Amino acid sequence: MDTHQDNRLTTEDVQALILMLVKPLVSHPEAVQVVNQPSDRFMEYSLTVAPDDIGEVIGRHGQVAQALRTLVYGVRTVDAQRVRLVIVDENK
Amino acid sequence: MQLDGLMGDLTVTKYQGRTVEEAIQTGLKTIQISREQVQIDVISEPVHGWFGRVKQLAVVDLTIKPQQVTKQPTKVAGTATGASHTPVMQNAQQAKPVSHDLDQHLAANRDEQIARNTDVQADARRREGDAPHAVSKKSQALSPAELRARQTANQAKLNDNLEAMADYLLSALAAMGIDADAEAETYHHGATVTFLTEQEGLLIGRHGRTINALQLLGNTFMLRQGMQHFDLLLDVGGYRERRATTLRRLADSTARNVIASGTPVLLDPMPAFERKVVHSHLINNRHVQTTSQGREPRRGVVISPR
Repeated sequence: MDTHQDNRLTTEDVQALILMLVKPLVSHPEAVQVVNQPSDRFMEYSLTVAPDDIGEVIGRHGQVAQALRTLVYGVRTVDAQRVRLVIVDENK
Repeated sequence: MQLDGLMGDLTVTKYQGRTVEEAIQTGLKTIQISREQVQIDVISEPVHGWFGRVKQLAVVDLTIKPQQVTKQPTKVAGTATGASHTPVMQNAQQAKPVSHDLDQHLAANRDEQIARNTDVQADARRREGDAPHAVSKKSQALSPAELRARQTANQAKLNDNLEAMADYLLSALAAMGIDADAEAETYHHGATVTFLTEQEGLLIGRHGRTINALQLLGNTFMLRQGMQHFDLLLDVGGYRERRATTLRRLADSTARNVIASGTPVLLDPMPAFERKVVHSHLINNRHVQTTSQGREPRRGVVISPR
């Protein structure tokens, strides 16, 4: 595992990754926000976008959301903590 | 009256066809004229490629003979210098300058004549029920060029978007800690982007999850750029072909089990383009039939005895 040591991501890296992935897909990139908070087993990242962009981030049948989660869950973090991505839907 | 005849000579148009005869017929039909009324110049003979495929089309030049011009260009004929200069106007390709001081005037006249003649042709095409773009001035002479210009513009747009998309994917990979390089290959309604990286396994992910997720995001990105019906395929180190081979082997062995047991088998969920590999591989198997079952993210192929 030593060879992949430099691939491990910090919390900021994961945040940057989420922002980087989401911003080009929405109409209001400036409204995209990611907040992280630790829970008992996961590091939770809450993604907030402009209310009319929520559909873009979720996608048809949740395809885009699933792809985002796949990519974000795949990363290895420095503290080996599992990542969880929560898309905050303010409409609900 | 000599002028009227010479006007007609300006109606020069090139037509293409698989054979010289076909090219001529196309031309005659397009401008709705009989064969006797035109002078036919064969510009190039067709070149044949392998297996009867035509590599280069035949090109003929149809020139409407003088007496066929229906509209009299009274305006040009009325100009004081008109009659003496007409030989120059005869044909743009054969034009020989008479004297320099008159050139400008001639050029103006010629432009006018070309405009007129193309209008006559446009009328003919409109009668035939052709598309409205034929109405535009100079369309006969420039429509291939205009078409090419549009194609170039579309190509440029595609290349820009493709580059933006590659940037997007590469920075996503970089943010995930994967060093990669990309090269793209485009075809008419999509592109294949091949990544070059040391960390192939990471990029592909379990059962190709990561690369498929990236592919979906790339397609979504292209959609956001306004490229509808764009089909993006991501590949790394021949992964897609390897995966297709695995899928075919899986399809074969599952089909064998299905035939032996007589009960249908549902394969694991897979994306549409992978299901397609299974479907098309078993399409000629007379003992089984394939359908898909489940809702999209978890949709899988069912192989059942026929």
